[in-house]
Amino acid sequence: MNLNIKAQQANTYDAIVVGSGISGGWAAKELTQKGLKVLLLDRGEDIEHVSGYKTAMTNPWEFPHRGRPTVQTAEEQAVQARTGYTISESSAYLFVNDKDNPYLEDKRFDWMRGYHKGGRSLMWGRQVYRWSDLDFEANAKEGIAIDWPIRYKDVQPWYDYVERFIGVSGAKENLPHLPDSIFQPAMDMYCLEKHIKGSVEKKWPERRWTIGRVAHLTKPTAEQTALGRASCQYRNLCVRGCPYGAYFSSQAATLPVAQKTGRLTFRPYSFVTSLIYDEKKQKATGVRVIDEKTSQELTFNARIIFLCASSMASTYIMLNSTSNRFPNGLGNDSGELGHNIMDHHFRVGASGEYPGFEDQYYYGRRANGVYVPRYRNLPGQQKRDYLRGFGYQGSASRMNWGRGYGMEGFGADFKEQLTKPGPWTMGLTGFGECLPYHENKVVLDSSKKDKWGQPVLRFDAEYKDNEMRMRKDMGTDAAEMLEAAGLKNVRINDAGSWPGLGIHEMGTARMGNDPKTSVLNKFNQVHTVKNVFNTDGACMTSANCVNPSLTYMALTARAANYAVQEMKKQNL
Amino acid sequence: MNRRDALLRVATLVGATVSLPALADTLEASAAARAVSGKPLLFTADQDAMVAEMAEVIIPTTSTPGAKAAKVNEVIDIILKDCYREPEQKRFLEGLVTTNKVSRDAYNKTFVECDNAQRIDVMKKLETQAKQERQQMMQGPADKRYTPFFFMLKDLTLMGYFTSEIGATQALAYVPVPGRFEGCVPLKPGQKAWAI
Repeated sequence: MNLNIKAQQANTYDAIVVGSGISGGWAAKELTQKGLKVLLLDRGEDIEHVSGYKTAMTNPWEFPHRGRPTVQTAEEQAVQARTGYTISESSAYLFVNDKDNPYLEDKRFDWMRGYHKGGRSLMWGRQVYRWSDLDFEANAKEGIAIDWPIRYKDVQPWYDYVERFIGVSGAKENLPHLPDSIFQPAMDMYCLEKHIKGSVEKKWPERRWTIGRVAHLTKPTAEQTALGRASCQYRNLCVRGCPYGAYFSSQAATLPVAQKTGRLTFRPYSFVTSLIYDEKKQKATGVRVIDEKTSQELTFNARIIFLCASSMASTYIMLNSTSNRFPNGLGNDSGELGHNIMDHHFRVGASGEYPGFEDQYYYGRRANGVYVPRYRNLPGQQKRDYLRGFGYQGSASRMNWGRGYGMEGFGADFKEQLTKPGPWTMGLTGFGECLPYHENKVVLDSSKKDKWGQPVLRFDAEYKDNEMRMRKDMGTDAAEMLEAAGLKNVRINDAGSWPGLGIHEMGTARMGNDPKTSVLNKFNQVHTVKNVFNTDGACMTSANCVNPSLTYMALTARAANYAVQEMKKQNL
Repeated sequence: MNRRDALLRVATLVGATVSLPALADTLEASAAARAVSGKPLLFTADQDAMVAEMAEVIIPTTSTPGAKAAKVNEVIDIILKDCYREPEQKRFLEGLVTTNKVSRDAYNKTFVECDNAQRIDVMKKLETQAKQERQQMMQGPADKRYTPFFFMLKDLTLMGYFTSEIGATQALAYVPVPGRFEGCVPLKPGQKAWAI
């Protein structure tokens, strides 16, 4: 008896954070800094900052297959391969083995995952954009799904707080629907981008061309330098992990701060299968864990639990946490848990060649593009035949030796030609908002088990008419902008888009004011289990068209602050 | 921390990272096997030598070393073995047989026995054939299409060469750590394209 109590005490913390990616890293940082003893669990390996980035300093010729995936990799990571870039020889090790991590698809769903310390903060696109009230109010104004329980004023101070810490490079634009961040110096544009910007903004003043807002340091603060983070070196090898800590990741930024408090315990290879619910206390008392190294089943206890395992994984844990009180998953009185999956639909846009600037080149590899913020369906504008809007990400470049694949001939002249810069090209890809549809859902399926004997997720989600109508504008608008700037051979490309592929999956445990129609309240707290918080993408009530990670960070910091206040008031 | 400090810091921290034994298990198994044995993996020694000569015709030595110096044949051997499935491997090996047949028909010699002008001529014949083959396929069903041998060889040669140390640092300009970005820089006369 006595031994059991001791064992329980040894496994007891003030807070448990599940997942060490973008959201979990922030939760760990905030909670430890506010004095809590935190257990941070991740189901993958411990990748150390710098030394763990196996391929970060590898030259192209040091890859035996020069970056190409082997047949074995393509088979083991068949789902991860759907993006077209993740399983390159330089980055495949950061993405999951699909054979070991199965799921089911009633409809195609591209679930891109990285199971390791830092999660997808190591491989993310690093584009960061604030939301505005155009987004927070959209559902209510249009009668779509449910209203957000928060507005821009609730999140704005937390955007400020997060941006000061992570470092965001970008340019001020004073757009009401895309508020400026706290910026470090903006990255440069290519000549061709500057030229197109001039042509487009003259013809369509509402179509602003700005440099991408990116979580890279361009003028580190003293706080960032003290963490060992340095300015971007313009290698553009970010997906391999940054040895300079120049872009924001859990490893480079949040976890070292949490570690320094002395109150963080990190436990790798810890697969959280469910939460333990205490009917009397009406609280979760801890988590059930499978140790992936020993196959042992363990429990850990805490006063509060932050679920930051990524949208689908956090939803999985909640669905898999059943009890008499919650037969359909923890906190799922509304029946909305697992529903309303959203992502950004993309892979539609245009590209073209520019006959000019032959005497202009560039230096360095910019790990960033240009951004065209949403300009459709803004207040006061004529409505399109779809709701919401889209933004563009794109980049100019001069064609490299790869153009030789499509050229005739071979030999000395052919070779010499390929050693010179090729023609300038510009490509634009639209990222469109997806509406929350109740029927787009993910459920637990026990007919298939993973290697730990746990049920797997089954996806049933699709893009619908609103997204498809928007895609027409996304293609034709891109083409007309490039043509207006004098580009030739302009082509509209629509490579098709499936939920998941944008790697912005969200919405399956949405926030709302009413417990009958939502899972989380305005502080990301489960309505009916007050000591459980979810602050990853699952909490999102609508999707906007901008990259979502910055908002996850702001909501996480805000929720952590609230949780600690509530603990001090003895409410948790 | 300035750039120099950052570089020094990385140099010290990364130094121990890219240790060969760890990589040999995963990334470099085939490359290590070929390096240790000195023998090709998929090719015979004759095929290996022939691919080296064919690649040199596609990317010859000019003011900078060509495909043979860059050992493009070794990369093609490793990639064909690890990244291609059997039907493509077979098509490539059959392409080598066809090449010798074309050179015998024209010059009564194997490809390797031909002089440089003859080799170029044989390759032009292969290119013409491959274009016809591809055109015919475009009229047929999509699932029956494949990349004809000549284009397989050409694509692998370009990739193998321009990502090699010789290709990247001599034929092209390689800057591993640029340290800054400038979007508009006048192109200098004779300036080479960036490798990546």
